[in-house]
Amino acid sequence: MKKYIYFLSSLLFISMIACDDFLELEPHSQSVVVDNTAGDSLYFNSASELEAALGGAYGDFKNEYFQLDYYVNGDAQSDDAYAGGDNPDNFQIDDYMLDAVNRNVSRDWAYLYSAIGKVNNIINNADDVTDPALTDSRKQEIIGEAAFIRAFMYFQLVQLWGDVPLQLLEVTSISADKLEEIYAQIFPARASAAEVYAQIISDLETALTRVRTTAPHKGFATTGAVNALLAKVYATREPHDWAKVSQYADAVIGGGYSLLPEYDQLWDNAVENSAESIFEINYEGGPSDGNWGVTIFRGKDWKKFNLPANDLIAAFTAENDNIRKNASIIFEDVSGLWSDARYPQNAYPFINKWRNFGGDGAQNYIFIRLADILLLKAEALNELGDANGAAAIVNQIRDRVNLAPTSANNQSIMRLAIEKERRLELAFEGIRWFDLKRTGRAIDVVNQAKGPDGNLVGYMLTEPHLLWPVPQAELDKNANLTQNPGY
Amino acid sequence: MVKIISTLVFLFITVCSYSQVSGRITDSKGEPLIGAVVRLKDTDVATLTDIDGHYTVGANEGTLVVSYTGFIQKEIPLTGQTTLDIVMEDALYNLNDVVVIGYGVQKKTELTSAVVVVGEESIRNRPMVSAAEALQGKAAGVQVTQPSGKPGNDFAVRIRGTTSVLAGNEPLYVVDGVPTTDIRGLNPNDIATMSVLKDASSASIYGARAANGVVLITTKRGIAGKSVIELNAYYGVSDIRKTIQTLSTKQYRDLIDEIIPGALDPAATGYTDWQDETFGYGTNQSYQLSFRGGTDVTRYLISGNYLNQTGIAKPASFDRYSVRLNLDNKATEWLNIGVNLNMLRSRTKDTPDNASSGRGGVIMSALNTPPFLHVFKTDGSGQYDPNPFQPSWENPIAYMFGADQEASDTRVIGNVSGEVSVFKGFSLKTNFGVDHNNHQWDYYLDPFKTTFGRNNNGIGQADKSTSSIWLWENTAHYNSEINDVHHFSILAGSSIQKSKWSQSFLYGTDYPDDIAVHTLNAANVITGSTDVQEWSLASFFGRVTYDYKSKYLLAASVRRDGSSKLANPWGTMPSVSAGWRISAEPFMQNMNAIYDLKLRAGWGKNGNQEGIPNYAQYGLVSYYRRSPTNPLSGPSSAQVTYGNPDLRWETTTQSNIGIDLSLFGGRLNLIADAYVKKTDDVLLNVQLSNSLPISTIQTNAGKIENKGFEFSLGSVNTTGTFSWSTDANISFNKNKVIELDFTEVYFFGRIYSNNQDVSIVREGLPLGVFYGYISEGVDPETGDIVYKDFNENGIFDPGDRTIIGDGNPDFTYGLTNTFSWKNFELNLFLQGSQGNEIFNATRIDLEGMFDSKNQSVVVLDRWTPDNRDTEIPRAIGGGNVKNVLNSSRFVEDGSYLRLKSVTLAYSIGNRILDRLNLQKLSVYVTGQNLLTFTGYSGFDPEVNAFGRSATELGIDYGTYPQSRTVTFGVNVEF
Repeated sequence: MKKYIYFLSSLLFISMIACDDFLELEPHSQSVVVDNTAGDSLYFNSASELEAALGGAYGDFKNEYFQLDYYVNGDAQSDDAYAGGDNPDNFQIDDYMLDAVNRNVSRDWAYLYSAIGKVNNIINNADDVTDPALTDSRKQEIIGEAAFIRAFMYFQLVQLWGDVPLQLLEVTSISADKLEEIYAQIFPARASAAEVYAQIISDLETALTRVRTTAPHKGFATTGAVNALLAKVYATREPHDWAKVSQYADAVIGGGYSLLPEYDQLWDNAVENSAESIFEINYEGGPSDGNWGVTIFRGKDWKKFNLPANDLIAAFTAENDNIRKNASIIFEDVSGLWSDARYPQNAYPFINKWRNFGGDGAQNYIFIRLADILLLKAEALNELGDANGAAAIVNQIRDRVNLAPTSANNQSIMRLAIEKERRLELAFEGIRWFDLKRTGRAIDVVNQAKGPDGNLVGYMLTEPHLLWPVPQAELDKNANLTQNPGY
Repeated sequence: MVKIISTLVFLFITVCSYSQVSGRITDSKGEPLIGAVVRLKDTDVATLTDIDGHYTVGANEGTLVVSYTGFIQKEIPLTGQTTLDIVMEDALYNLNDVVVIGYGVQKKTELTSAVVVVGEESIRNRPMVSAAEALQGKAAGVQVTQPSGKPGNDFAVRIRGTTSVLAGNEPLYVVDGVPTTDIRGLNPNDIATMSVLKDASSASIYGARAANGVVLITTKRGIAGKSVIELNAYYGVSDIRKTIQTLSTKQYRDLIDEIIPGALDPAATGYTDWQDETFGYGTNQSYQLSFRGGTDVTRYLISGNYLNQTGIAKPASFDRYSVRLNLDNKATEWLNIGVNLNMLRSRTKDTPDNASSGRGGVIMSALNTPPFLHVFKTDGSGQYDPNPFQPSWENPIAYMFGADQEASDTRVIGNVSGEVSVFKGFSLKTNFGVDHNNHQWDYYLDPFKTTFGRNNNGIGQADKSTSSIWLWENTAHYNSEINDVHHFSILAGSSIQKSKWSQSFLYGTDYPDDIAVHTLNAANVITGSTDVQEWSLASFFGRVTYDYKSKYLLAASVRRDGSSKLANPWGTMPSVSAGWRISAEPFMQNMNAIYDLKLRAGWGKNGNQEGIPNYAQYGLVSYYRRSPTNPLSGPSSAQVTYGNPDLRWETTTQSNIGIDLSLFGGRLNLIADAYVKKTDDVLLNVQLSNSLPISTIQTNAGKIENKGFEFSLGSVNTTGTFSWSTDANISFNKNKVIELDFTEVYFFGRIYSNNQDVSIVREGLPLGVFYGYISEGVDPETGDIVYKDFNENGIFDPGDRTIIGDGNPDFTYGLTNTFSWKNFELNLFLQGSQGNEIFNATRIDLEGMFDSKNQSVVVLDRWTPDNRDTEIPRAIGGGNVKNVLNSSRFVEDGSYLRLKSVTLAYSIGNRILDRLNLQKLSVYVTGQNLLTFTGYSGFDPEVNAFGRSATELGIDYGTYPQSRTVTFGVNVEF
């Protein structure tokens, strides 16, 4: 009988000694960020881990915000496009009727901060990487590129919401011990727009001295992209600093970029990452790198988003600007599919700037190009009192599309000329709404937008709706947040 | 020879010289009872009935006491008769009944904990796919809901309320000793009995995984000396209980002209009744053949089953082939070997539901698709007619049949055990179990028929995963007694368990024109991934039970568990319980009406970690493909979870008191229990601000309490030719969140159309309450809903949101009546839920009037300048969704009473059976869900778009409706 007891005891024993190892299971398909037991463990252990994280941060330029909402916010929210489609969230944006539970509002907030969190990890931990494979110059480039990305994201946030939380630290793990230390990251309050702009400029200055001048393609932060963004930021931040705009625009203009000879060459997909392009998101197509956003704007399978507005078409027509009109808008027959009170079924407009909409998903998006910066330079010159200098640049842009030189000859008329030129040149590139906002013209212009028959569309934009509501779900979670006035 | 005869004669005379009585003991149907105990009261005179049920007892005065397991004990005074045939009546309760408990069995009378047994009779003659269905309405304290009527869909089983948010609330199932959380593969017809361990003291022997209770399932086994061949078959037809009337094309066009003027093609005037196209008849059928038998040495059960269920909205279907082999072998005097093996293959086709019409939800699409569209384009292209208003919004038929998809599972679940009797009362047992499953899901969307398919030029997906779980348990049992007054038993054991799951997934697009080729080799663009996940558990446990004369009962157990998922892996789960059998006290002996009376009390702790991700304690980095760099530098990466080095067991402490009362020889039984469950260190997905790249963290962050009462009553009302018995149970549970860390409130239940969370978790409230505005009806001036200024600040703002409903029922109940008359048996099973509310989000899309969705006829009464006195607001476009905010407008009473099943069965009489050479033959017809009494306006009140969720209860959003079913069946025994 004893032998049975030995047998049992040994069975129990075997299962017991195996235990501690038995319960220690680490993931196979993902990496562990930091070893929680060691206080001095590194976030990035090697050069390639750091590069991979930077790749992940750049990847956010291909999320839904940048494939779709970037253009809805910039164009459907302006007098250039209607919401199109049949989506109440987009209608709210188009009609300046946003509420705090709008789906786009809540997801855009999350997308932008998601990218910021990723670059915070890089900016704050890159210096600790001791891997000899990481040269110091590459390390500096990486920090610079991450800083550019952070500035790009905050620039979106501050333009949309005004005061927003300024998240600059990363959170890697959350535990009771650390709660006090990380509380401000978990439940952040809003920083003033001025503080956010200061951070954006500081990040871009960090980037400017570190990033490359040329990169494998235009989808990376380069000196030109940083200078261009600085010019845009100084033209947007209140008060505008036109000297800085001029300075950084000059740096771009002298940075080896040139206008393409023909306007349509920007959109015919024959040449990607062209000499005019400054920051361009490169898609290779396919399920893991496809730009499906273009199919939301173009195609006859359903009623698409960002329907070109009558007011914009009228502006092209008034200017007799057929080259840019045809490059920007295409009319198609949608009889039997749907109708719209604003257009006849046999001549229904679509955006024509992204033409690879039915195929492999390899359509690139150009976010910043030279014409934009040239016109900013013109604006700076005009604001600094040099209307003639401004006219020269405006005429350079007009000349490419065979339009006569501008007749504007004083500062106030030139302002409107530049506004119109930017509208026609940069239509559907996600810029119009933010141009109207930064020049203080949004309410005047938008409320005068005309519909199909020359009557007012009837927008009723008011001051509070120049800023978006903070998502209600964020307010519900975070007692330290406040809502913008009017929501 | 002469000697023998004379001896016999002598014996005969001897016997005759004593007075004696003899006769036959049968059940109410006249079947002989073999081995019934016939005893002369207060003497040692006793005998057993023979194979024909005959007995003889040497006495003709005094009182005969007849007892037989499963029948009411009978006492018959002798009045000098020499023959006495006795008919025994079925008992609901018998003192000698045993109940399966964790790692053993125990006499029902000696239980000190809350255990409810659901027997085979709750399964018989009811077509069901899952054993969980058999628990619905049958066991007090067990709330079973079927969140959707889709074939093969999971049930939500809650034993005594919801204890957890993240770690799961489904009970642990232990099938013949193998723990599992998925019993969909188990054929209900193979089940002999289910024991539901409800309180901590019964369940804590399964400590780590027992916080939600344990369901022990014992399958049928062979019986020595009796060969049985059984054939069971049924076939049934189901349909939808009701449809919801939507607008005609004319009415629709009028409505859209108010919302988006000019948006409709003038030629769009056709009409399709989408619900008519979507819903049809479903079927269910099952065929089972089983063999049982054996010898004293080896007993066996072999059963094979084919089951097929198709839904009322195609292509949803579930079919399953299963084979079971149970073997028991007495290898030597001291060694028993047992084998249980269940192999099955199931196939599931899905009809996507619980999603909006624009996101593939078939049910919402059947309601919302504009009526002017056709199923197919009228141009003869064979393409589905697409909705021109929204991306990828196809008509419901396209969602149903556009893609060809099927999931299949091939599963082996079984165990081998060896039990050694070392000496009397002491045994050692080792049990090795496996649960191995190969899952495969294939999907193909051709490049022609749907918009989505054309845009991608065909899509193929293949998902294959293998789950392999093994378990090794070793236990030692010791039973003993001292002077037949002190009885005790000791159990000690260990258990280790490990799971490995690996998956490969391929996704391809850009297919050739030949739609016969579905495999991914033909896709021009492919991405893929593989994944591996593991978890392990290690446990040590012990239990002691003691009783004094079966009168004072004590039990204590302790279990120590380790989990690989937790940063602090080990937890200790103790329990104690005690019982007092008052009926065994001398002072109770004259109270003849009381057959058994027992008071029970127990306390214990159980753990939970089931639902949390395997590597939740670590901060994790995921990898994403990017354009290769030169030189190569790998994929891009991003941190996707925060680590939590504090992660520990979620622990539920439960106290239970109960009373078991049995009257009139077991004819009337009452069980009542009261309990308090407190869950500490509740595992939660804490929602952080979206100003962080990762917006949730798994952590222990709260306390939840459940309190409740439950009562069950069983009664044999009449016996004899017409017999009638009643079983009833009712359960009351109150759930409350006691404490939340990190933030005071968590939100769940995002409603698609208004992007608002309707479920809230907050201190002092139960899980599953609804949050939103209070609707005060339509303003006759504006046609808009007026919301109550709840915070009384004079304006309408988010502060006006409050609690607007509760998805938890006040009580749930079940009532079963069984009538039998001659060869007929009628079983009526009613089941219901009272006081629960439903947030009918389907109505947001069906009465919201804010975009191009078709609406229900309710909106014909909408506000217009000419119709101001109405409850239905105006139609308005332009993104104005103020009238469809989450509000009390969409909260409805979800109480229901349902005739869950009614079965009429007829057993063929013995004479015909003899002629047919059969043992048994019965036929039945069963109706399921034939009647539902409810005020709920949706398809069905038994609904949850969020499935088994703990925090989102009673939300209806295009959920696949329950169906009504009529089934015909036959059971034959050869």
